[in-house]
Amino acid sequence: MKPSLPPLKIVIAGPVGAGKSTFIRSVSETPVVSTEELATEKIRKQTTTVALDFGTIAFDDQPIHLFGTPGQDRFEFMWEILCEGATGIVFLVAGDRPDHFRTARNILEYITSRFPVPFVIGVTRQDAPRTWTAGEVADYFQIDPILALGLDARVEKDCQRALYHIFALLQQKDEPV
Amino acid sequence: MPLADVFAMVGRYTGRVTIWNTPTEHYYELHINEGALTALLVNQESIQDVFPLRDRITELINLTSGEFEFQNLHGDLLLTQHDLSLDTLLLSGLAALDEVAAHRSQFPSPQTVFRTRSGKDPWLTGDLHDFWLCSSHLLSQGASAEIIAAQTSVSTDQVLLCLYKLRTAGVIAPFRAFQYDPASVSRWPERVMDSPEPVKAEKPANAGGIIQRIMLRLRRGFMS
Repeated sequence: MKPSLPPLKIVIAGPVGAGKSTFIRSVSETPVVSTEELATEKIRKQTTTVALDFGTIAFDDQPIHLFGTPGQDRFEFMWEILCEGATGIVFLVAGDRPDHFRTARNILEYITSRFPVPFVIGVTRQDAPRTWTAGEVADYFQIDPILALGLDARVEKDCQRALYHIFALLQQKDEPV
Repeated sequence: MPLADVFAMVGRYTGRVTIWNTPTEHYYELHINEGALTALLVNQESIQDVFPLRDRITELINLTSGEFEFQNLHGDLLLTQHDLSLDTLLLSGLAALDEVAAHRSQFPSPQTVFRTRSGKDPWLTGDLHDFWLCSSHLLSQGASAEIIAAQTSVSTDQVLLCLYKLRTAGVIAPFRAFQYDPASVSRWPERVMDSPEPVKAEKPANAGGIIQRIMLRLRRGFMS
């Protein structure tokens, strides 16, 4: 059966170490294409995405492509490339890394002030001993709390729920999709 | 020689200072009458508003190289568009340099679009008030630092500093290009682990809609 629409593009963005690659691996139905390299900066992990991660999901005949952006600032040029033509953005931040919030907010505002795409903020690492809740992160980002949710990027259901939020935002738009 | 020292030296005289061959690639012309700046031209274009003029002085103080010439002239031969103390301009310019450096890490991207928050009638003073006067018409429509800088002759750094202050004061907020109706999304299901009773999946009104089908499938996935 032919797909009814071109593949829908969902971008998974956010600062380094937020769980973007993990999110895509959790939810993708096909092997994830990654561009991981050894980290050259102190980022609490050995490797990091340098170009993009790519995974796919299919609902009946409709493919959804998942693109993960690199998290480090020096790959800023990739954000615009990856967000062009996006259906929605899942923006991840690690709740236990408030030192990343300012950079994260700058990235999110850069993207969402320029691209008319729905977004949600997924606050990861909710199991850390000292972590910010989704509501607290929404306050800091000055967004409606309905647009922020706590999630575990390793749990498929949590990732599906974040995607559901994106499509719910799309659904309430006036124009039919 | 730092340009601040040059201004301090020639500022007591009356005449015209020209500066060229600078990293900014601008040609500057300052008309000075016994310690007062009476006109500033950048690339032969006169800077009329005080806020951009102050910003240009900061730009001059920040120059790392260039050539200058001072020409003694009678006061009658000078342009007289302003009457601003050169010492005060230098001091405020030096302070602005420090302020930009101190807050640079907090600055938004120059391309991020900001817009005036509705119902806000800001009470602002000093430079911020001057900036508001020359940029509020742009911010009411939504504008980035790049756009404001291009349309007001204020440097991008200075615009970013002012946007940072205005945002902190709650006068402006980042523009969100995607608009949604909060009331229509308030019925979203709670997180599975937080929800004592799973929300029953509703049959979508338009079962043929792709988005609705995707939502239904996702909902089945995380509610199962």
